[in-house]
Amino acid sequence: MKLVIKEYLASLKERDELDAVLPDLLSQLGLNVFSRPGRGTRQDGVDVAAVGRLEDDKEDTIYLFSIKPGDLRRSDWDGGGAQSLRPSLDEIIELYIRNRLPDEHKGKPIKICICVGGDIREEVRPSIRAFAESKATDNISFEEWYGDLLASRIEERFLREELLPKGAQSLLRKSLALIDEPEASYQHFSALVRSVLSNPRMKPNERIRALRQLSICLWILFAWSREAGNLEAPYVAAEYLLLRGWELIRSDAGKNTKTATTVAEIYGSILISYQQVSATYLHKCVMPHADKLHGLSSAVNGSCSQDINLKLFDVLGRTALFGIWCYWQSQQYGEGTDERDAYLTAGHEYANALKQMLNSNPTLCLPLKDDQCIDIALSVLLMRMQEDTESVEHWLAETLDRAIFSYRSNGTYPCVLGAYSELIDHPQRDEGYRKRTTEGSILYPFIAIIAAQLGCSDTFNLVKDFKLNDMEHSNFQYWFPDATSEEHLYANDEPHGATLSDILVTGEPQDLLQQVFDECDHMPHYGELSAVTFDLWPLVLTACRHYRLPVPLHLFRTESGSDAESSVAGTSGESPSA
Amino acid sequence: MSDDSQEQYKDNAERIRTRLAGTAESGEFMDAVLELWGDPTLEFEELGHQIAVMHNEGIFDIVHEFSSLTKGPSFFELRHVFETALPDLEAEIPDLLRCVDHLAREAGQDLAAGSIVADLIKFLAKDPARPRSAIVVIESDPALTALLPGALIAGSQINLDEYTAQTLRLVRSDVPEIKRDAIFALSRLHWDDSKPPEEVFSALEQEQNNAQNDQLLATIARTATAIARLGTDQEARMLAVADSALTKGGEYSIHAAADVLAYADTDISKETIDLLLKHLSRVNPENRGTIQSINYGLMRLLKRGKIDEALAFLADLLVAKNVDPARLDAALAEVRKDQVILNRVSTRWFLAGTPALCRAVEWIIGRDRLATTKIGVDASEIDLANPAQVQFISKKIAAYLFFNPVSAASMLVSVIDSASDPAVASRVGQVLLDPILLNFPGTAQEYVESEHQSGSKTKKKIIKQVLKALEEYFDDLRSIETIPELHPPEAHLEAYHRKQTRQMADAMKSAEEQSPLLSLARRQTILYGRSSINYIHGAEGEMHRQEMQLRAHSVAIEVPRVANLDPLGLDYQLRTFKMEAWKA
Repeated sequence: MKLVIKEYLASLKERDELDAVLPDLLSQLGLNVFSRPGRGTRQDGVDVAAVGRLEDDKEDTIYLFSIKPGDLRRSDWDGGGAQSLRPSLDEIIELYIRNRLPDEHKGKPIKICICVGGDIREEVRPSIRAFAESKATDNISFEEWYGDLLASRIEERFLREELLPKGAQSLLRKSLALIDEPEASYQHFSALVRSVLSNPRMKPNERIRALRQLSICLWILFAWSREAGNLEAPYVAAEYLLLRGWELIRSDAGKNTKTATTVAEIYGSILISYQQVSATYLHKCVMPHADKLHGLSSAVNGSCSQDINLKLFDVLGRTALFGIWCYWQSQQYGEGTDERDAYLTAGHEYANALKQMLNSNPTLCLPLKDDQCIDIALSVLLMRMQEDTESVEHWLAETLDRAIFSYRSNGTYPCVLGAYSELIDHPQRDEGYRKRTTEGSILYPFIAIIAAQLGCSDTFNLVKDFKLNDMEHSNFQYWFPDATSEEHLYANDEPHGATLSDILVTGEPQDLLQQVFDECDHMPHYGELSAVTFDLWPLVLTACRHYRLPVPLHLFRTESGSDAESSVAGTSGESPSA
Repeated sequence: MSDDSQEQYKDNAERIRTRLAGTAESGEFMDAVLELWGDPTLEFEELGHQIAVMHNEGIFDIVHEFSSLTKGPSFFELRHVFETALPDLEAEIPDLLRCVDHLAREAGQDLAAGSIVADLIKFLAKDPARPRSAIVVIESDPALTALLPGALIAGSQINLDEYTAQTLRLVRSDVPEIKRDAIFALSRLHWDDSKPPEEVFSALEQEQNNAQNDQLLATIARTATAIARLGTDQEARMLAVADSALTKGGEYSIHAAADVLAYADTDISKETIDLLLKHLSRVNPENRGTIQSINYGLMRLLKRGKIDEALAFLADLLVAKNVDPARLDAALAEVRKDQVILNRVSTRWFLAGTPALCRAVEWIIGRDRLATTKIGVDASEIDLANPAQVQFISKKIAAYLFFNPVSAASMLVSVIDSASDPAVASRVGQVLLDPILLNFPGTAQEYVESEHQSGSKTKKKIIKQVLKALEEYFDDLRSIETIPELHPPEAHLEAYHRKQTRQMADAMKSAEEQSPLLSLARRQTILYGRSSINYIHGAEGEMHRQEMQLRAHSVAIEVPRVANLDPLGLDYQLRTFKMEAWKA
């Protein structure tokens, strides 16, 4: 296990990554972290600060960490760059200890720790030793925290049998061993999550420990997967942990207790992990190739067109979801701040990549499965947040054209089949097959709703004609969260929500909008979901994508009926439907 | 005959006699004949002659034996032996006629059913009494009328005048079957260098005037067209008889016209062809036999250079009669054999845009999925200065020849080469790129690259642009390294593999069930090695060792790339190209 951890630590390539995981490690070692890293900047040379007592300490000691990912070479020690270690250590001594150390910790012994994920190269050791000897005082000493030492400490403390049971360790190892078979890897990881969270009545400390362990396990999986060149498993694992984590801590959310604060910090680190995994995934797999004609479709390397369609819609949903998270993240910062601008820019980039994907991969103009409407809805949401309704209009019109054409010509029209073995035989020609496989739909009513909102009468009328002429047998429907959704949305352990049947696409557009949005009034439970009340509404979308649930129509509801952006972007601190 | 040959002949005769002796009594006659028929050391003629000799000697009665032969696995082999013996037989005419009639009927619809009549004619022509006697027997037994033409023809070989008179007498018969068969015989009497007398012409005219029955009219039409070709000065007169008969007649008459066209000699006149085609335009496409005869007739017309007539009629059948191109396979195969005709047909029919004609071109080229037939545009059929025409035909070419990409590419390149407007040529280049080259970067691209250096300046420029665009497209794709995250799950790959394996096994089983070769041969499975060793029994019982090397057989087909990337988009594009209509 130590090798697993050491490999993981050495593979943390970015400074942010070791920053993010180190506080959890220190907390798990019994230290109290009182300063966490701010994004992109150090506080006078300190990345992480903690207080407490480790094995050799006779009294409470201050640990000030300056972090360097990977191995430490001569150039990293004093290379003149902004991230060089020696100037950081000087800043700690001259500025941090003097100006920033909290009053309650003044007078305590201080250990300045040089923390590297990998190894400290021999060539640089004499320089470090000389520096430490010259700067050490009675109260200030220096320690080297390199990968091997970190790994030993994690193994000794974090992965102790009583803290992470052998069964869970075994699941983690299996998950790591099967990274090249992402479905199997994810199955083991999700089993690990379930096993750690298996006790429904955890005490506060147990909740904190479980969350921290799972956070680190996710980091380990991510680091290993990145080394192996396959991020599929950590992507789905991160989504799952984000959802299950919220389920665990939602009762603490909003409380002003120490547990609640700690839990929120750890959940924040899981959210950062999720965002980092998503960004890495999209920047590796999607962004560089989104504008190449047939690029992503070819990269699927599938056996048949169904493989390409399934994967491309999956990737589309992931891109849209992360774009939405970026817009949400921008709302967390004040108007005009750099962070807000950076996240808005990122959101635009993902939205643009999504549109490039649509233009370059025509398979995205015809879903094979009706439930790919979920990915379409996420994409529509992102494009509307970007105020690009024109792209939405064109895409949905083209999708509808193709769906109707394929239905009438017995092509690969959208169907309700779920099993892959059935999908690869779709369509079949026997009597009744077409009706059986289209007996319900959320896709067509969704297109009609958006068309009605955008005033696209051609598209709306096409759905209407299609329903009247070809889809009389099909129950046009949509799903709404209900009172039980809060209990089951994040774990998907029971069916929940309610479905509105017989959606009226055969009347006037306003009738349709009135029907579905009146139903939103009758089903106000979306606004009561804890993720929404605590301004984490993209988490609901994550659950919809991960567990294949329709995206709540509340998110598409607008006062004017033509602008969803305001309802979504204006959710900071309150429910979008409120 | 040399001494050795004579000796061999005697030996063989003795072997035949020995083998057949006593078999009639023991009921093994047919088995013995069949055994001798399969003996590679015996000639068929020897066997037939010796059987005739033994019959004439009274050792057995071959007529009696064959009168009860029914259609079975070896029917045609045995009947062939009888046919060989028939001219040399001495037999009672009634019995023989009944036997021949039985063997002809038993053969059913087989093409060889009537071949026995030729040997009957040889038999009858050997003795002047035989045709006379045969006609008497046939007149008294209507069941035997099918043999009447044979008897009349045999008689005319002995005495033309006598049997012309006999035939004309029978033409006036009140028995419809006898009348019909006598009319049929009229054109086949042994005219040789003689010309039919006026009575023949007038009799045909009279019968045509009186006839109402479709089968009789069909026979009159056949006979009139046949006599018209005898080189008399009465061709126009006989064609008028045929024209009237075909006008009055129904489906039998149309079928007769189709047969005349299918079996016409090389010297068939233009007037006759025009007459036949005029009436064949009424053909009922449901009559498969008639369509089959027309198919062969049109093939012959094409072979004889009657191209315009044949192509016009083919187009009429395909469009107006909606005949499936597969039923006109012989004629369309003839189109494919000649590059000039192929170019003309492809250009003309694609430009017409009629789905039936376009599908016919698709069938001509696409019949062999692996074919790489090159096609050029026929400049005399298209206005290459007209952008609408050029674009229209380029889309039809791409859509209908899609699965024969080299053919499609060759025709599109030819259009580019001939187009007078570079802007129009450039648009054809776009069609060449998408859907042809994007889907078939193998053989089609190789072909286009080979055309890079030849032809007009415009052609060179457009091809260069197209190949550059294609290269950029593939460069983009090649720049994407393997992205395992996007790969389908293992479980999906396995499920698809299972499906494919099942489909392949089903296809293999179906192909084996339909294979005529496998139904004839004994099947053995070789589990190991790369050659098969067998010992074969020789004629003298000796064993021969045979070692057969095993060879791998494989067929490669190029699957359109976009069929996986965007199946519906491709389908939609091709359908749109096919459906697009054009008005001059």
